[in-house]
Amino acid sequence: MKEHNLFPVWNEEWVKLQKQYWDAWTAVQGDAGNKPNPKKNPWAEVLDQWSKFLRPNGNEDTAALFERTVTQGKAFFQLSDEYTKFLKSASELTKASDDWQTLLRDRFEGVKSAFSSFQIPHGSPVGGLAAFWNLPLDTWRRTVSGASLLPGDFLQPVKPDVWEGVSEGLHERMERFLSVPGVGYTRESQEQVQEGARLAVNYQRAWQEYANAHARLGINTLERLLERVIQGIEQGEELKSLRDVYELWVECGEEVYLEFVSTDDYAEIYGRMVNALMALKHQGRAMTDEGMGALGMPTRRGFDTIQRRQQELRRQLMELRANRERQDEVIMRLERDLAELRRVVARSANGRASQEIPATPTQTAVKKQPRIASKKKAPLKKAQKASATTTGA
Amino acid sequence: MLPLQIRPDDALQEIQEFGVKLAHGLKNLSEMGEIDVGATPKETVYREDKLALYRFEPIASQLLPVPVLIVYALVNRPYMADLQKGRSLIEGLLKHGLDVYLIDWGYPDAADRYLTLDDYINGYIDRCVEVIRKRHDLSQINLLGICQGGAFSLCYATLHPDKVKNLITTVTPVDFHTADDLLSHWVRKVDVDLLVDTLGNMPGEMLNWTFLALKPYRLMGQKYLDMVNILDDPEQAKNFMRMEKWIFDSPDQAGEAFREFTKQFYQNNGLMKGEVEIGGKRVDLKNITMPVLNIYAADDHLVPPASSKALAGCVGTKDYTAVEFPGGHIGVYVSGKAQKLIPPAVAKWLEERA
Repeated sequence: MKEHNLFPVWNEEWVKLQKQYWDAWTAVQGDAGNKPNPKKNPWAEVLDQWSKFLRPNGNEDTAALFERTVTQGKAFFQLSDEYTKFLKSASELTKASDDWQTLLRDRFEGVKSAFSSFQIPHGSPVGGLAAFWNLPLDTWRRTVSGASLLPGDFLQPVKPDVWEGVSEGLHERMERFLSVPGVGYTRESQEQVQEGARLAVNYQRAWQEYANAHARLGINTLERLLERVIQGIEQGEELKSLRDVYELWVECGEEVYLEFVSTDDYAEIYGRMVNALMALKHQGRAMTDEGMGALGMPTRRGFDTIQRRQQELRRQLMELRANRERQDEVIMRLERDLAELRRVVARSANGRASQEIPATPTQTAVKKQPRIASKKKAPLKKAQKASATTTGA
Repeated sequence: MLPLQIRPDDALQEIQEFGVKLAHGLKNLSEMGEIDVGATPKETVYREDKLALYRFEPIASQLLPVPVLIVYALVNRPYMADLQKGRSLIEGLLKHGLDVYLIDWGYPDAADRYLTLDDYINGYIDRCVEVIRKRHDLSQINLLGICQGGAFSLCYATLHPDKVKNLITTVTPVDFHTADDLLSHWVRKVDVDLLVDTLGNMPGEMLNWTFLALKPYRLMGQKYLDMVNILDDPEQAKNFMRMEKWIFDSPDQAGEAFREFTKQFYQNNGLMKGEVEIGGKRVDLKNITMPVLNIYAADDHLVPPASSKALAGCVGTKDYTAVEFPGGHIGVYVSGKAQKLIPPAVAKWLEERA
């Protein structure tokens, strides 16, 4: 029972210090009246407040880094909170006890259930511990956002968050409904819309499959972490700081993630999701093009054709230019030879060894580029003047 | 008691210290201002479309007779090879007497959508090589490829062996189907035609997040907490910011070139099979008969060492040297260790083959 005395006022002190910390910072900011939500981690809260005052303006790089650091800082605070609770509950256990592993696992269940509640709220920015817990899935969300076609993304209504909770049965009913053939004057556009909706359902299903596959990553990471802690205890290793726990957590997270994403199953569901998203966007683009075409506006298809032809023309132009340069070189060589021949002919015709006919290069000859002396420090400016070349747009 | 020796007062202290460091660090960040990259003086000797060919101002009094052209990847920006003074591959090469040129591909936009690998390799690279050959009145120059630029250099050397005196590849993928190549594994089932037909150019941001997804917990989580420890020191904080700027500075990829590269190299592993076709000509690595120096990184998570090492069995040269760098994909250019190891190794190897 002595061991209990090592943590006499754990909870009280913890909360007290966090409150002191919060009060100190808010006092500095002259905002002591703005009390944090007691349910939230005050350390994360204070960081939120603090960061609002400091957020850099103007420099995008720094601002982005600032955001990422604040997000991960908050995650660390919340992680520390959860682990200190666990460590407190584990503090009464001793290695001497036969069932210490079982008891430790029991205590760890609390951590697992607390962490499981950290999910990315759909449609809202990722924050707090969820920022770390959901990193793999969040990374995919950011990946997809880079592929958005239009400002404001007109496909927003068919993003996964909107489809949250839609059952598989509803998917099937919707597919049956969507397979009803279009009729009448607007048949073609009905079919396009049906196809778009079908692809949206398809993508939603692929996304769900992908998200479900990720669902156990976090829990598996925690289970791996517990195993590593137990292994460490058996080998007499110690976790001396919260940062040590965090490092171990990251290590376990990467291990579990790597095992997951290295499987053939992962490659399949990843491929299905990317392909489903692209098919949906492709259909959206085709429908937009139809509308633009009907209004007599330029279409993406039209631009594609122009760009392709332009590139073909540029390729031909470059080829012609290269050919001309090659021909110029040939002409220059021939002129040199011709001049030499003239000299020889003149010499033999006149029978006088000293007679020479001066060679004058024609205007078509290309000047030879001056050679840059490489044996010593090269005269940069001279070289630049001699051969800086600019072509193209 | 179990050896989970984190006393409550220590834990509180740790959290408090972290909070203070974080707050101070964020204050430093907010006051940091613009981040400068690219330290070595250079001039632009050729421009075409978005491309710029730079020549770096020589430092050494004695230069090796044959200049070296650095072919950078289409992904991210080439200032990674010249990040800052003291962390610059280019600065190191110049100090060791090399005459250094570099291709900067710029930021492709919709007008570049139909650029193919043929345009990049037989077009842009070849014209840059021509410019340098003429400037120096040489029939051959040295090529140094970085990552995907290394794969491009291999293709170029195969198709134009008469113009390449020595070939250096750094962290260059050759075998795209090694067991630990995650990128290749992920892209295997992706319909690349549909992807390019839909998106046109490949958004750089999309690629960037894909790279970060290789190690999400480390690259998007742990890294930022580690950074808190160095934010107190403005110089170290700036160094970190330079890398961060580089990581998120991702140009879009010209659609057709991306399609060809992904299908031929990643999905079909065509470089190993000798099935890559560029401009209607087959790329056979056996045509590489000039000396080859292949530098790879032991802890590379983007291009696994096995992928680079595979080059040994594919090239036709009898003069092949491989160098393993003890570090990662980026560390091979920017780490302190790299500054001491890579430039002298490259310079010595080239000097022996001048």
